[in-house]
Amino acid sequence: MTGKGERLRQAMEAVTSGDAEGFADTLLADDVVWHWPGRSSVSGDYRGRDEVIGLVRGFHELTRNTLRIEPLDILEGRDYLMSFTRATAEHDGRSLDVVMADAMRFGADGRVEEFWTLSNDQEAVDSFIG
Amino acid sequence: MVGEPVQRLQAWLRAYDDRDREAMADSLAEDAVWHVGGTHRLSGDYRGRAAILGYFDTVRGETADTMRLEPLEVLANERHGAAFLQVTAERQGRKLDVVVSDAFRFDPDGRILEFWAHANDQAAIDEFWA
Repeated sequence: MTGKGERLRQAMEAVTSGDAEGFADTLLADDVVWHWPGRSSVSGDYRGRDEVIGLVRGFHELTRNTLRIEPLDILEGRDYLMSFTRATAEHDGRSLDVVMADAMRFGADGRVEEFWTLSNDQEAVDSFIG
Repeated sequence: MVGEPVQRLQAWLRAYDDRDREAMADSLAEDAVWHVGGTHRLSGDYRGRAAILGYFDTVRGETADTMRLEPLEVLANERHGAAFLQVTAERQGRKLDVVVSDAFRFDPDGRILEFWAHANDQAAIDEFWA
Protein backbone atom coordinates (compact mmCIF):
# COMPACT_ATOMS: atom_id res chain seq x y z
CA MET A 1 0.00 0.00 0.00
CA THR A 2 1.35 3.43 -0.91
CA GLY A 3 2.08 6.01 1.78
CA LYS A 4 -0.68 7.97 3.49
CA GLY A 5 0.39 11.29 2.01
CA GLU A 6 0.54 9.94 -1.54
CA ARG A 7 -2.92 8.41 -1.28
CA LEU A 8 -4.25 11.67 0.12
CA ARG A 9 -2.90 13.51 -2.93
CA GLN A 10 -4.66 11.01 -5.19
CA ALA A 11 -7.86 11.42 -3.18
CA MET A 12 -7.69 15.22 -3.50
CA GLU A 13 -7.26 14.88 -7.25
CA ALA A 14 -10.39 12.73 -7.29
CA VAL A 15 -12.32 15.48 -5.44
CA THR A 16 -11.10 18.13 -7.86
CA SER A 17 -12.09 15.98 -10.83
CA GLY A 18 -15.58 15.52 -9.41
CA ASP A 19 -15.12 11.87 -8.40
CA ALA A 20 -16.58 11.54 -4.90
CA GLU A 21 -16.51 7.73 -5.01
CA GLY A 22 -12.88 7.73 -6.10
CA PHE A 23 -12.09 9.96 -3.14
CA ALA A 24 -13.72 7.49 -0.75
CA ASP A 25 -12.23 4.39 -2.39
CA THR A 26 -8.71 5.82 -2.29
CA LEU A 27 -8.69 7.01 1.28
CA LEU A 28 -11.56 6.19 3.60
CA ALA A 29 -12.49 3.31 5.88
CA ASP A 30 -16.08 2.12 5.43
CA ASP A 31 -17.00 3.38 8.91
CA VAL A 32 -15.24 6.74 8.62
CA VAL A 33 -16.53 9.70 10.63
CA TRP A 34 -16.13 13.16 9.14
CA HIS A 35 -16.55 16.18 11.40
CA TRP A 36 -17.62 19.27 9.49
CA PRO A 37 -17.41 22.42 11.64
CA GLY A 38 -19.19 25.74 11.68
CA ARG A 39 -22.81 26.81 11.52
CA SER A 40 -23.79 26.18 7.92
CA SER A 41 -26.44 23.83 6.54
CA VAL A 42 -23.85 21.03 6.26
CA SER A 43 -22.21 21.39 9.70
CA GLY A 44 -22.20 18.22 11.75
CA ASP A 45 -20.90 14.65 11.68
CA TYR A 46 -21.04 12.33 8.69
CA ARG A 47 -20.84 8.62 9.50
CA GLY A 48 -19.84 5.97 7.01
CA ARG A 49 -18.57 6.03 3.47
CA ASP A 50 -21.95 6.74 1.88
CA GLU A 51 -22.70 9.80 4.00
CA VAL A 52 -19.27 11.24 3.21
CA ILE A 53 -19.75 10.61 -0.51
CA GLY A 54 -23.08 12.40 -0.23
CA LEU A 55 -21.40 15.39 1.41
CA VAL A 56 -18.73 15.63 -1.29
CA ARG A 57 -21.32 15.25 -4.06
CA GLY A 58 -23.31 18.04 -2.42
CA PHE A 59 -20.27 20.32 -2.66
CA HIS A 60 -19.82 19.45 -6.33
CA GLU A 61 -23.47 20.23 -7.04
CA LEU A 62 -23.44 23.46 -5.02
CA THR A 63 -20.30 24.72 -6.75
CA ARG A 64 -21.12 23.27 -10.19
CA ASN A 65 -17.78 21.47 -10.11
CA THR A 66 -15.75 24.63 -9.53
CA LEU A 67 -14.33 23.25 -6.25
CA ARG A 68 -10.53 23.03 -6.44
CA ILE A 69 -8.32 21.56 -3.73
CA GLU A 70 -4.68 22.57 -4.05
CA PRO A 71 -2.28 20.80 -1.67
CA LEU A 72 0.06 23.19 0.17
CA ASP A 73 1.65 20.85 2.69
CA ILE A 74 1.18 17.41 4.19
CA LEU A 75 2.49 16.43 7.64
CA GLU A 76 2.43 12.67 7.97
CA GLY A 77 2.72 10.97 11.35
CA ARG A 78 2.23 7.45 12.67
CA ASP A 79 -1.51 7.48 13.34
CA TYR A 80 -2.36 11.03 12.34
CA LEU A 81 -1.88 13.29 9.37
CA MET A 82 -2.54 16.99 8.83
CA SER A 83 -2.91 18.40 5.35
CA PHE A 84 -2.95 22.07 4.46
CA THR A 85 -4.78 22.94 1.28
CA ARG A 86 -6.07 25.98 -0.52
CA ALA A 87 -9.71 25.51 -1.41
CA THR A 88 -11.38 27.67 -4.03
CA ALA A 89 -14.92 27.46 -5.39
CA GLU A 90 -17.74 29.57 -6.78
CA HIS A 91 -21.50 29.50 -6.79
CA ASP A 92 -24.19 32.04 -7.57
CA GLY A 93 -21.71 34.91 -7.75
CA ARG A 94 -20.06 34.03 -4.44
CA SER A 95 -16.45 32.94 -4.35
CA LEU A 96 -14.52 31.05 -1.73
CA ASP A 97 -10.77 31.15 -1.20
CA VAL A 98 -9.60 29.73 2.13
CA VAL A 99 -6.84 27.65 3.66
CA MET A 100 -8.15 24.37 5.01
CA ALA A 101 -6.32 22.24 7.55
CA ASP A 102 -7.67 18.72 7.42
CA ALA A 103 -6.77 16.38 10.26
CA MET A 104 -7.03 12.63 9.77
CA ARG A 105 -6.68 9.60 12.01
CA PHE A 106 -5.69 6.39 10.24
CA GLY A 107 -6.67 2.89 11.25
CA ALA A 108 -4.39 -0.14 11.30
CA ASP A 109 -5.22 -0.90 7.66
CA GLY A 110 -4.02 2.54 6.56
CA ARG A 111 -7.45 4.00 5.88
CA VAL A 112 -8.89 7.18 7.38
CA GLU A 113 -11.26 6.41 10.25
CA GLU A 114 -11.77 9.97 11.43
CA PHE A 115 -11.53 13.19 9.50
CA TRP A 116 -11.78 16.74 10.86
CA THR A 117 -12.00 19.73 8.56
CA LEU A 118 -10.66 23.04 9.88
CA SER A 119 -10.74 26.33 8.01
CA ASN A 120 -8.80 29.46 8.81
CA ASP A 121 -11.96 31.46 8.05
CA GLN A 122 -14.96 29.39 9.09
CA GLU A 123 -17.35 32.33 8.68
CA ALA A 124 -16.37 32.64 5.03
CA VAL A 125 -16.99 28.91 4.57
CA ASP A 126 -20.34 29.07 6.39
CA SER A 127 -21.61 32.03 4.41
CA PHE A 128 -20.40 30.49 1.16
CA ILE A 129 -22.26 27.23 1.81
CA GLY A 130 -25.25 28.98 3.31
CA MET B 1 13.54 31.19 17.81
CA VAL B 2 15.97 28.34 17.35
CA GLY B 3 15.59 24.59 17.09
CA GLU B 4 13.87 22.15 14.81
CA PRO B 5 10.23 22.77 13.90
CA VAL B 6 8.93 19.88 16.02
CA GLN B 7 10.94 21.12 19.00
CA ARG B 8 9.43 24.59 18.59
CA LEU B 9 5.96 23.17 18.69
CA GLN B 10 6.84 21.03 21.71
CA ALA B 11 8.23 24.18 23.36
CA TRP B 12 4.83 25.85 22.90
CA LEU B 13 3.03 22.89 24.49
CA ARG B 14 5.55 22.75 27.33
CA ALA B 15 5.16 26.50 27.94
CA TYR B 16 1.41 25.98 28.27
CA ASP B 17 1.95 23.06 30.63
CA ASP B 18 4.46 25.05 32.72
CA ARG B 19 2.09 28.05 32.83
CA ASP B 20 5.02 30.05 31.49
CA ARG B 21 3.38 33.11 29.90
CA GLU B 22 6.72 34.52 28.81
CA ALA B 23 7.65 31.36 26.93
CA MET B 24 4.16 31.16 25.45
CA ALA B 25 4.47 34.75 24.21
CA ASP B 26 7.89 33.95 22.78
CA SER B 27 6.40 31.11 20.70
CA LEU B 28 3.84 33.45 19.14
CA ALA B 29 4.31 35.99 16.37
CA GLU B 30 3.17 39.44 17.54
CA ASP B 31 0.26 39.40 15.10
CA ALA B 32 -0.62 35.73 15.59
CA VAL B 33 -4.23 34.65 15.09
CA TRP B 34 -5.86 31.82 17.06
CA HIS B 35 -9.09 30.45 15.59
CA VAL B 36 -11.15 28.70 18.25
CA GLY B 37 -13.77 26.45 16.68
CA GLY B 38 -17.26 25.64 17.83
CA THR B 39 -20.24 27.69 18.88
CA HIS B 40 -19.48 28.28 22.56
CA ARG B 41 -18.66 31.38 24.59
CA LEU B 42 -14.94 31.28 23.75
CA SER B 43 -15.35 30.47 20.04
CA GLY B 44 -14.00 32.98 17.59
CA ASP B 45 -10.75 34.58 16.49
CA TYR B 46 -8.13 35.94 18.90
CA ARG B 47 -5.69 38.37 17.29
CA GLY B 48 -2.29 39.24 18.71
CA ARG B 49 -0.22 37.86 21.58
CA ALA B 50 -2.14 39.67 24.31
CA ALA B 51 -5.53 38.43 23.12
CA ILE B 52 -4.28 34.85 22.73
CA LEU B 53 -2.66 34.80 26.18
CA GLY B 54 -5.86 36.31 27.54
CA TYR B 55 -7.80 33.41 26.02
CA PHE B 56 -5.59 30.89 27.81
CA ASP B 57 -5.92 32.89 31.06
CA THR B 58 -9.70 32.64 30.71
CA VAL B 59 -9.48 28.89 30.10
CA ARG B 60 -7.31 28.43 33.19
CA GLY B 61 -9.62 30.58 35.28
CA GLU B 62 -12.83 28.91 34.11
CA THR B 63 -11.47 25.39 34.58
CA ALA B 64 -9.65 26.04 37.89
CA ASP B 65 -6.45 25.22 35.98
CA THR B 66 -7.56 21.63 35.32
CA MET B 67 -7.08 21.65 31.54
CA ARG B 68 -4.36 19.22 30.47
CA LEU B 69 -3.01 18.73 26.97
CA GLU B 70 -1.46 15.31 26.42
CA PRO B 71 0.27 15.15 23.04
CA LEU B 72 -0.61 12.06 20.99
CA GLU B 73 1.43 13.16 17.99
CA VAL B 74 3.26 16.39 17.16
CA LEU B 75 4.30 17.01 13.55
CA ALA B 76 5.99 20.02 11.98
CA ASN B 77 8.08 21.34 9.16
CA GLU B 78 9.35 24.87 8.49
CA ARG B 79 5.96 26.11 7.31
CA HIS B 80 3.30 24.16 9.17
CA GLY B 81 2.71 22.13 12.28
CA ALA B 82 0.10 19.81 13.75
CA ALA B 83 -0.57 18.71 17.30
CA PHE B 84 -3.02 15.93 18.15
CA LEU B 85 -3.88 16.22 21.81
CA GLN B 86 -5.91 14.36 24.38
CA VAL B 87 -7.54 17.26 26.19
CA THR B 88 -9.07 16.84 29.62
CA ALA B 89 -10.60 19.49 31.87
CA GLU B 90 -13.23 20.07 34.50
CA ARG B 91 -15.55 23.01 34.92
CA GLN B 92 -18.54 23.45 37.20
CA GLY B 93 -18.86 19.70 37.73
CA ARG B 94 -18.63 18.95 33.99
CA LYS B 95 -15.84 16.84 32.59
CA LEU B 96 -14.23 17.13 29.20
CA ASP B 97 -12.20 14.35 27.54
CA VAL B 98 -11.72 14.81 23.81
CA VAL B 99 -9.09 14.56 21.09
CA VAL B 100 -8.29 17.96 19.63
CA SER B 101 -6.39 18.60 16.41
CA ASP B 102 -4.43 21.83 16.30
CA ALA B 103 -3.06 23.12 13.00
CA PHE B 104 -0.26 25.69 13.01
CA ARG B 105 1.27 28.02 10.44
CA PHE B 106 4.72 29.44 11.23
CA ASP B 107 6.33 32.72 10.22
CA PRO B 108 9.87 32.75 8.73
CA ASP B 109 11.33 33.03 12.26
CA GLY B 110 9.54 29.86 13.35
CA ARG B 111 6.97 31.64 15.51
CA ILE B 112 3.31 30.64 15.42
CA LEU B 113 1.49 32.93 13.01
CA GLU B 114 -1.86 31.23 12.85
CA PHE B 115 -3.49 28.26 14.49
CA TRP B 116 -6.77 26.44 14.37
CA ALA B 117 -8.32 23.95 16.74
CA HIS B 118 -11.07 21.44 16.20
CA ALA B 119 -12.26 18.54 18.29
CA ASN B 120 -13.47 15.04 17.50
CA ASP B 121 -16.52 15.82 19.59
CA GLN B 122 -17.29 19.49 19.11
CA ALA B 123 -20.70 19.10 20.72
CA ALA B 124 -19.01 17.94 23.94
CA ILE B 125 -16.81 21.05 23.90
CA ASP B 126 -19.69 23.40 23.18
CA GLU B 127 -21.61 21.82 26.06
CA PHE B 128 -18.59 22.00 28.36
CA TRP B 129 -18.35 25.78 27.84
CA ALA B 130 -22.12 26.42 27.77
